[in-house]
Amino acid sequence: MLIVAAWLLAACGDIIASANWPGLSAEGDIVYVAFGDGVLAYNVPEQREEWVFSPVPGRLQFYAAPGVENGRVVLGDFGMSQGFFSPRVVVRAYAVRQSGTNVPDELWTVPNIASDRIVAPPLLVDGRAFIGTADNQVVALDADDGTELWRFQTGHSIWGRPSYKEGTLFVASLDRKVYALDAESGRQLWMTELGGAIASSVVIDTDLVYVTSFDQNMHALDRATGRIVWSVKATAWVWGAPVMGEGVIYFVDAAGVVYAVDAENGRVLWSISVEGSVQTTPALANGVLYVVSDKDLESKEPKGIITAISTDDNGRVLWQQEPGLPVFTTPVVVGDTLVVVVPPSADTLLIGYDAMSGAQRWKVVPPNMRR
Amino acid sequence: MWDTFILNPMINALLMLYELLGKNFVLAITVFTILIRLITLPLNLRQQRSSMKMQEIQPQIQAIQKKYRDNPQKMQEEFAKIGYNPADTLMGCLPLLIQMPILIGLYQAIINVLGSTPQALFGLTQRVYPFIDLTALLPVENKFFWLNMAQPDPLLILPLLVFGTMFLQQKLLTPQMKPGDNKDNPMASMTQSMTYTMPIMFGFISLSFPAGLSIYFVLSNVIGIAQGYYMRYTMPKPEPKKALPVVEDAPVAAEKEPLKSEYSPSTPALPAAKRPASKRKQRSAKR
Repeated sequence: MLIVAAWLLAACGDIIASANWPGLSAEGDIVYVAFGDGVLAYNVPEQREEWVFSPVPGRLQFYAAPGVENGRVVLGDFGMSQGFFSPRVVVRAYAVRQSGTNVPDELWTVPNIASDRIVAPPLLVDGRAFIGTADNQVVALDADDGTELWRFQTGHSIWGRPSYKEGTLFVASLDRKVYALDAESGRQLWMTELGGAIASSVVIDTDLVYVTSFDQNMHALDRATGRIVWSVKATAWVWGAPVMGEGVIYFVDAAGVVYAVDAENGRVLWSISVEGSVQTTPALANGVLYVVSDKDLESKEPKGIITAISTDDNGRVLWQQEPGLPVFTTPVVVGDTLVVVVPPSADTLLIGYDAMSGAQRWKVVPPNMRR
Repeated sequence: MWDTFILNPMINALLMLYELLGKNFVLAITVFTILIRLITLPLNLRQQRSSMKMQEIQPQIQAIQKKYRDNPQKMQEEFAKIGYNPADTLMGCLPLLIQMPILIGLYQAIINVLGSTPQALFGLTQRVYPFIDLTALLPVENKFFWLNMAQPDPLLILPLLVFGTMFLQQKLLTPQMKPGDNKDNPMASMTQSMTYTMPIMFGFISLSFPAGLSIYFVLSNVIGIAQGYYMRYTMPKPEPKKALPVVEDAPVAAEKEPLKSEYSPSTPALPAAKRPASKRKQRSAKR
C-alpha cells in the first residue's frame, strides 16, 4: 500500500512540479516556442519548422519564452536533478543559432546558472544576456561565450523578462520590488517596493517606467529615482505587463478588464471587459490590441478566448475567436498573422489567425507528438 | 471530491498557519504535522495497542486456527475467549489508510502553496478560500537555510533524518523479541522486517521529494518516537483474556495435536515474560 502511495505521490508531484504554460517570442518571420519538452523555431510565412532543440527529451523542460537577438537564441531550462542519489537540481542556460538543419548549433551552455528553474524570458541586448531565475537572481552573461559578468540577488523569484534602456536594467520580482541596476556592473541604482508580488516585466518610457502588480494596480515610477508618480487601480490582480502605444499604455487585469491609460498622467481613457480571466500581457500591433483570456476555469478544461480590440475606437471589439483550448500565453504578431500558442495537446501547439479578420489559417502539431 | 475534501482544506490550513506563524513555511508545516498527528492519535494508539496485543497472542491464534480449521464457529468462540477479533486486524490498518490521503494531499498542498511557476500559482488562486488574503501572503517563502522547500535536499541531510527517525520509531513501536522468536510467527517476522524496510523506503522517497514533505516525515516520526516511548515504557501492557482456553475445550483435537507442546517453555513465538502467567492460568482453568 505504501509503495502504491509513493508511486502516486511521485506521479502527481511530477506533473504539478514541472508544468507551466508555454513561452512564445518572435523575431522577424520566426516564432520561438518553449513548449515543455524543448524549443521549436517555426517560420510563420513559410509555415515551416526551422529547428527543434530538445537536449534531454522527457526529462528536461523548457517553458521560459526564448530571448532572441539577430538569430541568436538564449534559453533557460527548468532544471534537472543529477541522479537519484544526487538530487541537487542544476539549471542551465543555452545559446543556439540556426544551422541549416532541423537541429540548431549550440553556441554555448552555462551548466550551473541557478539551482531553481528559469521561468523568466531571457533578455538579449547589446551582446549581453540578462536572465532572471526562480532562485532569486539576475545573472548577466556575455552573449558571445556565456561568460558570467555579474549576479544580483533579489528577495524572491523573477518571472518577468528584465527590461533595458540606456545602460540601466529594470527587474521586477515576486518579492514585490522593482530594481534598477547598472547593466555594466549589476550595481543597484534604486529599488521600489509595491503592495503586491510582481509576475511580469517593467515597461520603459522616456521619464517613467510602468509596472503591474498583484496589488491590483498599474504603477508609473520615475525612471531615475523609482518614486511612484501615479497608480491606476484595477479590479483584480494584474499578472501581465502593460504595453506601450502612442502616448497610451494598455493593461488588463485578471477579471478581464482592459484599460487604456494616458501614459503621462495615468488618466483612464477607456476600459472594456472581455470574457474570462486574463493572466497574460496583451499584444499590440497596427492599432489592434490582442487579449487572450480563459473561461470555465473551475472545470478541468478551461476554454481560451482571443479578443481583438481596436485602440483607435475606444476599445471596440473587432473580432473574437475561441480555439477550444486554454490560452495562457501572450500571443505575437508576425506580419499579418496572429500566432497563438496553446498547452501542447495531441494535435495543436500553435495556431495562426488572420490578424485583421480573426480567421484561422493554420495549426502546428507539437514536435514531440509527431514521432 | 479529492480537491474539495482533502487538497483544498490542506492548502488553506497551510496558508492560514503560514499567516499566523509570521510567514514561516517550516513553522507552518511543523504545526500542521502536530495537528495531523493529534487528529490521528486515537487511531494510532488503537492500532499500536492492537498490533502489540496481536503479536503476543499470535501463537494462540495459530494454534486455534490449526485446531479448528474445520469448525469455524468453534474457532470464533475460541478467538473470543482470548480476546481476538479478526475484524480488529482490519481496524489496525485504518491509521495507515488514513495516512495515505494525508501524505498525497500534503505533497500536493506543499507544491501548490509554494506556487513555484505561474501555472502553479494560478492553480493556487482557484483553490484559496475567499476569506484568505492571498495578496498579503504572497510570495510564500520557499527557502529555509540551504533548503528549497519545493526541491529535494541537495545535501541529503533530510533523507538521512527521515531514515533515522523512522527507524527509531519502528523500533519503539515493534515489540522486543529474542533472536529466533519470529521463526514460527509470520506476523512477528513481517513486523521485524518492516522495521528496516519502511525507513529505507521513506529515506529513498525523500531523495526525490520536496524538502517540505521530508520535513513533515521527520516531524511526524519524532512525534511517533515520543508516542512509541510512551507505549513501550509508560502505558500498561495489554494482556490476553485467557491464555490457553483451547486445551480443555477440545480433548479430541488435543489428543491428536497436544497443544501443550505448542506452548512449552521452549516455544520461541510466545514472549518470555508471558509464559509463567499463561501456565498459571492454564492450571487454574483446569481446576
